[in-house]
Amino acid sequence: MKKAILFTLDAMFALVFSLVIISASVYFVLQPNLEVTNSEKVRLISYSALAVMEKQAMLERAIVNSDNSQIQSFIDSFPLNVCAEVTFRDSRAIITSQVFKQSCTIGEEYFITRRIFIANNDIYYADLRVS
Amino acid sequence: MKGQIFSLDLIFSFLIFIAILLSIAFAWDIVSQRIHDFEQREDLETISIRSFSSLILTPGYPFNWTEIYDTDPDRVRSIGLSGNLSFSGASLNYHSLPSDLGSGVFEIDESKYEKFESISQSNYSHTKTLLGVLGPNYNYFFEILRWNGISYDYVTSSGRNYSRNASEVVVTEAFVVYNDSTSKVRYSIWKECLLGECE
Repeated sequence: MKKAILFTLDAMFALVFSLVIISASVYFVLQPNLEVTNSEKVRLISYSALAVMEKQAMLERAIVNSDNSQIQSFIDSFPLNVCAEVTFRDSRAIITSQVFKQSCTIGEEYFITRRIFIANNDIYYADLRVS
Repeated sequence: MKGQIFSLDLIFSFLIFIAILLSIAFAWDIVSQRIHDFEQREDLETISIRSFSSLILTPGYPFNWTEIYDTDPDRVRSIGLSGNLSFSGASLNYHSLPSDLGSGVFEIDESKYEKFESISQSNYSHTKTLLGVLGPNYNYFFEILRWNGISYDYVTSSGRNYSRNASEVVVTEAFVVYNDSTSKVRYSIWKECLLGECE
């Protein structure tokens, strides 16, 4: 007498459904953790960097001497995971010069810090974009 | 004569049930551990940014805490390293503003830093309390690095440096003026391993 195995359609569905649930659970559990947000740290770097650039007269010197090299090397020294860009505008809000951190592109989400300062008897704005 | 029937589908269903049960137990264990790690990390991050901001952006409370500490340390509520933030008495001359204001925000007052360094050596646990670093086995380490035009040179530090016995480290950085030099301060909050935790 021959033996037979009986698989009903609902049993097959139940089996497939169980396997899908198990696979999905394992997949989601083994996903890497979401990175803890560090936006406050980036904001602190942004505020402090521009404040120090102003206090140390780097902004003023960049305009007076038409030389951004000091600011360039300063923003290049920012932490590796931080991108930065300094934009100078005159009192008519026209961009006079820009400095970008090397090998870096500003992300879609960024902070802007602004300082207003005087150089060459004129008012200038310095915007620091950091991401 | 009695018999027992084990049908094939019963055995299959039992195996599947066990597999699901084990998977849930496995997932539960991993998720619990991740939540615990995440919560601990968040706690360290929060303490780090709050106490660091208080340290470099405020003059402390009371503002003359360096004078009060030796006679009545209990009156000191908070340690801050920036100078007087008041604008009273400042000259209207733009170029003389920074010096007239003394050390302001993002400027470290040298005398306050020296006092902080001295207290952190003599009474480290009290500085932890004043900074709000109150978690279990939490420690802090504060460094000042001077910019030489290209990179940063080590100047001084306070607190306890982390080594191999740290299970978690959160580092926060900011730029400041220290001793009239462009500098960077690095503040690390770290958790010391409990017995056997890091082996």
